[in-house]
Amino acid sequence: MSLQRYFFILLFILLPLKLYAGAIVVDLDKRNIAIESDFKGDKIAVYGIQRLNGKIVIEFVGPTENISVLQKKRHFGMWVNENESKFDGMPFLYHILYSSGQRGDEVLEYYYKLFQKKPLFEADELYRKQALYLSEYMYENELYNITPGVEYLSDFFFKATITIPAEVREGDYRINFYLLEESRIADKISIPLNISKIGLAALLEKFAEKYSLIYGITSVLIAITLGWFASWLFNKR
Amino acid sequence: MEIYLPIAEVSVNVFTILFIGLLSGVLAGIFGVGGGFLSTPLLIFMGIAPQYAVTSSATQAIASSFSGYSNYKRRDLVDTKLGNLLIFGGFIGAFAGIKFFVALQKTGNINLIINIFYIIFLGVIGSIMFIESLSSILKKKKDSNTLNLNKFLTKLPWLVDFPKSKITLSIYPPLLISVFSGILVAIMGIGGGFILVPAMIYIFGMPTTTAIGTSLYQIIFITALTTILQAVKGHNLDLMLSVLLIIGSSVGAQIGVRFASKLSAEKLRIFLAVLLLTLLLTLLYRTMSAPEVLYEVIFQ
Repeated sequence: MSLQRYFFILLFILLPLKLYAGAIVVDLDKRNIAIESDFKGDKIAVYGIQRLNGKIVIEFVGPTENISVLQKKRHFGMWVNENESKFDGMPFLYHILYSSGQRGDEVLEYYYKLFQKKPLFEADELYRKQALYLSEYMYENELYNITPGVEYLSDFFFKATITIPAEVREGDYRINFYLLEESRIADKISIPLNISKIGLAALLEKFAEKYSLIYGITSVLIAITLGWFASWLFNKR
Repeated sequence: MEIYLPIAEVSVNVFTILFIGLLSGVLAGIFGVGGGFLSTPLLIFMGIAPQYAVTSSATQAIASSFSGYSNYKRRDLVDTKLGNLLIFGGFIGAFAGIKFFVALQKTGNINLIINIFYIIFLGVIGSIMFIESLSSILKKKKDSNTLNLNKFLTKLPWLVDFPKSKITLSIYPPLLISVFSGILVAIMGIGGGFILVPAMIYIFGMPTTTAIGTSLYQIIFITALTTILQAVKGHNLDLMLSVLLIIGSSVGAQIGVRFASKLSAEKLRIFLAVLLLTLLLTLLYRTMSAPEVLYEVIFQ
């Protein structure tokens, strides 16, 4: 028996039963990512099988954000931000993984279908330039990406590695698996992934967000106490 | 040693922040000011977003002002009556300043406005201090150029006696100056001592020590209010950053006090003037030079 078959059988034993209903069956090696003070990114290993013909596309998508892109213009020797273009409801993170055997146009067509925004041909030139800069910015910061990251170990058995960039923010993410057959979605499953901060940093952030008034007053009291302590120490010596 | 600042969402070197705190503390110890005027631009140079740099410097100013205030209070050198009037004006200024700050944050130009405020502030204070201290070193004469404006101020309406400072003046000038210093606290993260102390000495005609003590008393309240408002309205307060700055500046202040006793007043002033002008040139260069990219991405 080949190694791949062993893997196939092992996968069936390990996979949770509830995922067996559809044509796609997957499992991840972790469902939570913790951001600690020394977080430098992470990786999630994905294994799966499909019961129908077609190719898998994985979409890793993060919390929505309202993003603005401003243009810098020189006035009186200074560079002022102006001409704001708003890109509301954009995902903070958007990674697409497809298989190397897949047709590029099929993936791209699918990608645009998922990622419907204001059509660029309808926009003015500045908006197009700002949209282009935003996509470059997101790509350079590894927040948006499209890679042939799905590897087929047999006709129906695939694996992939999802990369979590260091710049990731905490929030609720989803890993969506689409089985594409001639640009048609034959099946889809979605798995939630929680990314959250832990430790003292997380505690402080939650405190500052949920109880901002108490947080502000506490900070003032800490500052006064430290100031008083410094003065006491100085006068004591 | 790197530490992640949870609100500013950036990793920084602990020792660099402590050093910035120490440096501003040394200045606080030498000149009796908060030191925020130095820590804010230095934190921005380090890559901390201006809104967090400003707010954390304001919180640091609470600690240094309180430390100084307790010393002056013990020696009965605080004019609480005038101080309360300045607090009232400062509160109006701080409220207005925060509103202005939050509005600017939305336009994406907060960084530029803070830089412009600093360029004007450092330019004016730095040049005056440099010229004044250089001429007094060269001429070897005492600096007794008090602007005797007190007589003019007694001619304005709503006169009030301030027995502790032995002065009588209209409430309008202190109110106006304190509103202005309140705005500066909210936008620049400085305590405002640089504006209040000279104004109290040269314009109101107060004794120097009472002016410093009263200024410190007022700064505690204004910086405290700014800290709370920034925490609630702007969500810009990074306590971890503030605590590191406070620890650094508390140690620095002690070094500063000892250092001050070994240098002449003129030399101290010229040293500070050179420092302010160096900061000014760096900020000017950064504001005027062409950016690497002509676009900026802002996550709302």
